[in-house]
Order: sequence, then C-alpha cells, then structure tokens
Amino acid sequence: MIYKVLQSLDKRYSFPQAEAHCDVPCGIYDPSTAQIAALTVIRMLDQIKELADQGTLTIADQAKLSRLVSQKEEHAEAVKQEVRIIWGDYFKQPQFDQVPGVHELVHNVMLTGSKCRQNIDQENGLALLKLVNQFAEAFWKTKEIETYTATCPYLPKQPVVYPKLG
Amino acid sequence: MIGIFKIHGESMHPALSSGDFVVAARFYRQLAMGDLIVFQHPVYGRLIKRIKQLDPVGNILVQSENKQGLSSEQMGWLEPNQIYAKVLFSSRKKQFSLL
Repeated sequence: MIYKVLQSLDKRYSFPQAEAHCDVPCGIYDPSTAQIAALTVIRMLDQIKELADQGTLTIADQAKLSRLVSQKEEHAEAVKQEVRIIWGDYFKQPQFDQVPGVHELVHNVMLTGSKCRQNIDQENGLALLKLVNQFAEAFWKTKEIETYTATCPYLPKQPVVYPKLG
Repeated sequence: MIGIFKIHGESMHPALSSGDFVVAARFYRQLAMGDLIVFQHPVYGRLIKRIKQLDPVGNILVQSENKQGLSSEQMGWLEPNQIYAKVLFSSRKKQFSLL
C-alpha cells in the first residue's frame, strides 16, 4: 500500500536516487588496491614466520597468530577479487589485444592467491606480488601510462610497479 | 526535514533492493553503528550505506550489505558534513520495515 503510493508519487515527482552500487561506477579501476593487499599478505607471512621461529607461543602469541592468519587469508582473497574485477569489468577486446597473455596471468593470480590462503610459505606471497605487479604493468599499458618499479617505503619493502603520473 | 529516496543497485541487499524507497531525516539527534545513512561521496556520488564504525570526533566508516558492493576501504572515512540524512524506515516492493 505505502509502496504503491510512493511509487505513484515517484512517477509524478521523481524522487532523488540513493545509489547502492554493486560495483565501482564511472570506470574507476586501479590495481593499487590489489598490490597493497598482496604486500599485506607478505607482511602477514613474515610475521607468522617470526612467531614460528620464536618456538613456544604464549596465549597472547596464539591470539596474534590467529589474527595474522585471518588477515593473510582475507587479503589474499582481496587480491583475487580486485584483479577479477579489473579483468572482468574493465578488460574488453581492445585491452585483450594489447595484453595477449592476460588470461593466463589472471588465472595464475587466482591460483597463487589460493596458495597464499592454504599455507604459510613466504615464497607464495612473493610470487603473488610479482604476478600482481605484472598485472598492474599490463593495466597501465592499456591506459598508455608508463610505469616504474620501486621498493615500497614500508615493510615488507618489496618491489612495486607504480604508474608515472604527472 | 524529511526526504524520500529511491534505491538504485543491489549492494544493500538483503536489507534493501533496487526500486525500494527509504524515508530519511535530514536532522537527527545522533548516529550509531548499524544506522543506514544517505551521504555524498566525492567519487561515487550520493550513496546509501550502513554505518560500520564511528570515531570519537564523528567521522564515519560505512559498509555495503554484501560483498558485491563498494568496500569500506574503497569509500574511506566520511566527515559528518558529508552525511545527508539518516534513514528512518523503508518501503520495499514486498514489505514495509522499520530500520
């Protein structure tokens, strides 16, 4: 009843819309979120290793370990999600033509992201960042923006591909 | 002052769906975690989201209702002056609900 009244009022006066977007609107895509998530995975793996090297864990250490594992897995999933969105929504035939190997690259990101969730090998985190950097390079190539690689100025101090802007 | 907004998009499903209406108050006593708010985002425009966190000076972090929506990180912290209205209740295609 109320809905029908509002619906007819809307037809006449057109209420303003409040957006509940299911995706990033306006073509805003940026691989930096995936890169930051990959760096977080590495950082979590490093801290897990530090705890492992410590030997016996106190209750506080165990609580920390639980949080580290949880964050590692959450951010590995975030990497997959961010890359999937750019590949699925932004990349179309012209971009596929510009980056011929992108399907295989994205698939490798998915597989390596899953490996990061499944175990605590540091090499997997580094491999994930390497792949995400390659993906970032490919993305900026489609925008005709040059990139450079620099070590991120915070832990885990790993190489990251950045766009040359301005 | 009261405003009526039509929802567009499914990021607030199951609480709200595209085509639903919400009635929102421009003036309100206070905001709390869990409240639905309509606000102006500098990148994404006028959005409706749920309050996830409030800091001591009144800045607000919001979230979508499902994983398909914009993440809290994507939207970032909002300042109080970006808030347009607090949702009082919704009128949905299938049901009426107080929020």
